[in-house]
Amino acid sequence: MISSKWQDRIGPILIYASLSALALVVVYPFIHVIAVSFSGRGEALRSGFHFYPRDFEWRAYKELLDYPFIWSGYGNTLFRMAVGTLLTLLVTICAAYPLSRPDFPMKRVLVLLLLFTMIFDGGIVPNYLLMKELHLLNSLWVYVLPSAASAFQVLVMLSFFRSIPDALIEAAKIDGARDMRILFRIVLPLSAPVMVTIGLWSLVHHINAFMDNLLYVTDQTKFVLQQVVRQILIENKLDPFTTATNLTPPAPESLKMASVIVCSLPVLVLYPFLLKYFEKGTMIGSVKG
Amino acid sequence: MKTIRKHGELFALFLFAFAFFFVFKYGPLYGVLIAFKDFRVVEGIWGSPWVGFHHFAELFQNSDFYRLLKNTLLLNLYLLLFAFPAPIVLALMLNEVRSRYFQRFIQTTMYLPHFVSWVIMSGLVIYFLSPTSGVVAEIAGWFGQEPVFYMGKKEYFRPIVVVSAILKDLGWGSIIYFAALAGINPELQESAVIDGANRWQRIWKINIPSIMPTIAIMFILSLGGFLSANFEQIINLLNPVVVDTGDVIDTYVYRVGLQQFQYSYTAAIGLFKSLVGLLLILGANLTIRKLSKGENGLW
Repeated sequence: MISSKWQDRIGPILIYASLSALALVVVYPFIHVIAVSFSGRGEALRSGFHFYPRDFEWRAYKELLDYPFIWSGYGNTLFRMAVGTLLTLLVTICAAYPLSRPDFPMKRVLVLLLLFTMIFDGGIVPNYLLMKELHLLNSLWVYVLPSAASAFQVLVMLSFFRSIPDALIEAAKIDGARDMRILFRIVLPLSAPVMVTIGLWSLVHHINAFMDNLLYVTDQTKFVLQQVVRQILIENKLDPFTTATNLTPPAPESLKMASVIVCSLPVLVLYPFLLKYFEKGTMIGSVKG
Repeated sequence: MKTIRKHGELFALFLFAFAFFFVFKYGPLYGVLIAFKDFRVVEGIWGSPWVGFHHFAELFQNSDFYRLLKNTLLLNLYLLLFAFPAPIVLALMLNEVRSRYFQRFIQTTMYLPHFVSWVIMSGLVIYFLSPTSGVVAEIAGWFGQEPVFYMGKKEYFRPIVVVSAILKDLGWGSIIYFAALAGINPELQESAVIDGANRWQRIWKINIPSIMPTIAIMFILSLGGFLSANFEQIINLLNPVVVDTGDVIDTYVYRVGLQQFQYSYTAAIGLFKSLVGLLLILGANLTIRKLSKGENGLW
């Protein structure tokens, strides 16, 4: 009895302490990044912890916003977010709606054909050759066309469509409604939750994607934001910022941290919506196919 | 024919959608042919001469291949050992927290790294591990350690990949287990408490067995990408100094295939990887179905 009392008390303390420590490990880097991005040169180069900016200045941001590729990167990223997400939703609806109708033939085979694309991947080189044959290399369309085909998202939407009561659709049919009318008047209006979920999945994918850029696009004016920041942050290409006319350039650390903030801005803006809808979305996604 | 006429609109919709899958998911299968050919750009995929299994024979004789295979397998094994169970542990811990407010706070913070790209995440990992300005070196200094260039040490590469992978998706991965835990019948817990079970016993005897089906499904899904070892993460963390331990199949294919134009040879490696991945996911599904007598598993 005594040992179990002792355990009852030490358990929660350990749990609360380790969870708090984890949260600290995640939150601290963001504070550090903001602090260094606004700090003066000497302060930004100082090693150790940074909790708030000292020698406050925003020169790093000014330099960054004067860099033309940040703007073209933002433009290209916004393009793929808008066009890519709309196209993804369109393709997903068009695949899921017919498969959700009980009288559509060959459903099982078609679903298997989709499932196969989830577990087998041609590989980097065949994909590259395909984009080349399709003349999609160095084109903005390479960002949005391939990612529109996602079998996982089709299965999620399919399981949602199937949960819509058959009686509603049967009633519409008796009233003489055709398939398209049923889609626009009954299925889509009832599907807002799954649309928001898949739409947000797609938005986040398009904000963060850079592999397609790395593999298929070499024209710097067509780079997405992630790839522009990747050059600054990871490849250390800082020479555009250390020109001869700039006698006191901001510290490389400030520039890098400012690029992190500039690059994460879209996600941070979306974060409250993501929190609201993503958890539920994961649950929809966990429905066994 | 009658069904097609009856469902003309539905067929049109599906054909439009399936065209995307056909071109972008099945299309690369045509390119896979070059693994059995001596691909020349001017002659195209079909026009290049067949060489049979020549590239595979070359592959199995190349010592590079065994280094890549070893790195890929080890890294994924570590990820499976440490990064796979981490969200389960977090969910079990969160489930023991009574304060709804604290629970929410932890979840809200732990989800954030999931939404940040690997570019940003890797950039921060490199920055925080730097020997001159990094915070990790500062903390190591408190314990009297000399600054170490972590990113330039072969032996640190795998731990760095595993730890950063855990930090990025720990919170996110826990959602599904947390929901599964919330679905456990509270009467089970109550009767266990009445029978005198302590916290540990409840976790081991009730919570973990109850979420086992979820764990099984997530396990199969994670095996699906087994050899793909998060390319986005590794390409950003890798540098020439740590290629010995850090180079995996995908990074090698990217470097040698696309940057040095050895298309056929690297396509063969890629095909080998895809086939092993396919076998793994089918095997895991079969095993789990057998073990659970057909109750668990993806299909």
